[in-house]
Amino acid sequence: MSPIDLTLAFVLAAVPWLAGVRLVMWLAPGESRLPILLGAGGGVGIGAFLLALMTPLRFLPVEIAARGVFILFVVLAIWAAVELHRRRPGWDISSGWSMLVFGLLGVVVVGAAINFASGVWNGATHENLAVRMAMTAHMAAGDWPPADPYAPGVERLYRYTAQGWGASVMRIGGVGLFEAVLAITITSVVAIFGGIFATVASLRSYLFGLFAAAGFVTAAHASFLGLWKAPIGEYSVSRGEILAGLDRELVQGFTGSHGFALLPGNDFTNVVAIAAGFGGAFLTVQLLRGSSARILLAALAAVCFGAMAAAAEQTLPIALATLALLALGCAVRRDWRAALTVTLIAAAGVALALVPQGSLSAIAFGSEVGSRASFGFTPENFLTLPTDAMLYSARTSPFFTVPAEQVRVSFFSPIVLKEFPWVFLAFGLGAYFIFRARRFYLVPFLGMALTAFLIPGLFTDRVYPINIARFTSVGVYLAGLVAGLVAAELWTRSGRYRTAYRAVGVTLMILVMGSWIASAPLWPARLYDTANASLSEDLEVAAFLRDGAYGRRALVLPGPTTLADVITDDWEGQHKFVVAFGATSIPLGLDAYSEGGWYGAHYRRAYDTLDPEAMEALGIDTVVVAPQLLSADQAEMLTRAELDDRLVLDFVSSDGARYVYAYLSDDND
Amino acid sequence: MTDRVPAIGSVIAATLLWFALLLVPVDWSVSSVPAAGSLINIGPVSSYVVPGQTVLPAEPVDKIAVPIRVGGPFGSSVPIRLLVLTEPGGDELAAAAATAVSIPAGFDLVVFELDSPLAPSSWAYLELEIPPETQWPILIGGTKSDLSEFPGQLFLRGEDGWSDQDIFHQLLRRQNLASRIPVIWSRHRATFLGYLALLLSVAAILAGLGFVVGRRRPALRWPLALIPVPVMVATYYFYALL
Repeated sequence: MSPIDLTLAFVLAAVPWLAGVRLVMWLAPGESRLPILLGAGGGVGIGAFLLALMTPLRFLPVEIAARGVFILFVVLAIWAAVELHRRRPGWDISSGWSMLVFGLLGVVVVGAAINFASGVWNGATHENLAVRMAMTAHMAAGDWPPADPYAPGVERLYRYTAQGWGASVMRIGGVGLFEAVLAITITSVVAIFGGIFATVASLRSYLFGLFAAAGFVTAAHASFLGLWKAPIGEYSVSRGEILAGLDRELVQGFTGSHGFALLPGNDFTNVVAIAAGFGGAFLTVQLLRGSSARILLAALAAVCFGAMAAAAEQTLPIALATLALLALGCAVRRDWRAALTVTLIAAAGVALALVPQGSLSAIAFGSEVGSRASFGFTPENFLTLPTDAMLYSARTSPFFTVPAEQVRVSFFSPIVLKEFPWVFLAFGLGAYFIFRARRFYLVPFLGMALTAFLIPGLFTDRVYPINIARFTSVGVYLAGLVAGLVAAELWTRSGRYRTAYRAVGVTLMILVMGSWIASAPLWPARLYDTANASLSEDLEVAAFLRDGAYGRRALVLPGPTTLADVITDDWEGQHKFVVAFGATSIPLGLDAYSEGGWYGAHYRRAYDTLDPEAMEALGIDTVVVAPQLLSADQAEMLTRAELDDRLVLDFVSSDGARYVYAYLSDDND
Repeated sequence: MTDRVPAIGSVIAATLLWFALLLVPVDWSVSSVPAAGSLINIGPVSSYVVPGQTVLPAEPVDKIAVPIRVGGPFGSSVPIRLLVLTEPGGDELAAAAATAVSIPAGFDLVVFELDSPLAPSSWAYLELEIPPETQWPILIGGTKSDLSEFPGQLFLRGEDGWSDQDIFHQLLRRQNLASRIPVIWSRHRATFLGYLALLLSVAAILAGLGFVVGRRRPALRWPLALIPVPVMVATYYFYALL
């Protein structure tokens, strides 16, 4: 990883942000506070950039589309810098508060960077690298639309938008996969913080904005309440060693969900989507506050919501429910114009979400790709949450007693009450403030959090049942935002019971943030040891594969043959570096979002016997081998193939831990 | 003058805390251990079936921890001696004695403090001596042999043991933070930078808090800005490592 590449990647990722500041200055001309302009610019710029990039990709070659959109946004960014210099908007936050806010943001960014990096280099998580970053690498190297890295002949039913941004940074800057995706992820994390801050501060005050943003990014299951139950001191003299192993567990729960702290490492596409979503939220708030540029504001808000949905489809129902609540609120107040505008934003957002290539457009237009999705309406599960036992039987929690192998639990079951006491407290107090203190601005925020928690009890994903738990995760973050707002309301109340109100607010925030705070000192330990014994050689192989023409298809020996294998560190994790950093397809099928059955069956035959028919059907032209990990049968199979002149050694890594063979089929003998 | 007292006091207190953090020696784990769930039984072992294991320390080692199960009533104990040799039957490099106790949890993690440290990057053979008069069955904690944490070989009675098992052990080095920092920098740079960035961010939060509170209560400005960070770091550091 080169510092120059990293700097370049961050500069390129910041271009949409600064362009967004220019857009905000246009659309909210009365806004002269620098914290608001900078805070909102990130989300607005990311939303606008994503849709601006994905739309021309429908009809222009990828190179032209990426360059054209970058040029446009660089112009906007330069213009923003000039305007900021000319207008000199004020930074009206005291130095003490500024240090506090930037310090908090620093912790959040460090956490996000460590979480992301440990998923790539230290085996902390696998889905980013094995699936989403793999897709980004193939987008950067290949044509549009990208082929599935695990089923190269077909288009994957998947979201492409956030990966498209990462791939465009790679193409424009010539930077590496890790640098590009890290840069857009961190930029999006900061944009989320800034977007929430600016949106809420526009409605209430900076203090409310800070509490809301802090609640969102730090919210997690209240596992810290059961920290004493964790197996500290067992078979290690070093408590630090065992504590380090509890890091992830602290901010994820049995209820199939996790706090925002884990999101950058688990799924960077969601981070990008949420950033765009809060850009849309800020613009909607500006519109409802009576800005003069109503049509442009509504259009750009719809663009942001469309980009958000295209980047992570599960955010769309939550945004639609929130906009519906807003429209209803406007209608109740007989502000028909505002109600209609909000309705139009929702409709236009849905329409625009279908423009970028990806899962939503595939499902909506009834293509063969879209038919691979399968959702069910299951009201019988109402007021229940999926659990981790849906994914791994009897998966448990080191902190709380959990119901054995129960795949769904009621909202009011003991485990939910233990993991989310603060959610109930925040929702209850939120309702109190709405009805007794007429704080109606809380309604959309409470509505979006509640929607996220209710959806897993109403719908199921038949392909990946545990996927529905993504809504619970988003619900946790949004409930954290609500808790922040409620805590700010409590903190700013005056009167006889001021101290009591403040004490409740502080208690609420401790419950929200406790697990995040407890886990923070443990984060760097995740980077301690690499999970890959031959990491430098894996990267040598990846560089060799990437240097050739794009389109290689590899058999990895030994390596994964199923999805469950792909998201592991088994076989020293070499497959993840082949498919992601090497931009080389491994045609094992992966799942039902591609032609999983056909590819899976053929790949298994190729893997077990180097069956020529299967190898040819899959188009495999490369065999990547970790010779020290081969079984005796596999070694003999390779030796036979070499003797038959079907395998020719192309590359040996520096210490001989990785070989790359060219596979010669009968056709190209 | 009144504002200066808490400011100077805070600087002195914070400086002392940081020095304590840097200079008090603690036990650093220099070999990682796998999850407790991977622990298996090796044995029964005895003065005749002597358990041994070759180890390759990456750094100098002052202590070695081994899980030992004493099969008697809870509370019964067995004195055990650890010998470190150059190889099975070779010259003695170090020795240590400790007591294993029968506990309800099963394995007792016994820490052997070596009389002289082991040199890094050279193979050593450690052997557990169980007194012949021991009346209780003794089991040693073991694990699968293909884990990278345990590159050595299990020995029983001074000969090659089962090839698919290793003695579960942890190597420790007593060192203060000041002399540990260069090691972390050279071997685990990402972790070091992560801690540094985290520390600076937390310091900024608390300095900011000190300034915010200090506007109304100037006496609290410096104590809040300077003292909580080393207190929090020391609490976590000494709890985790002492």
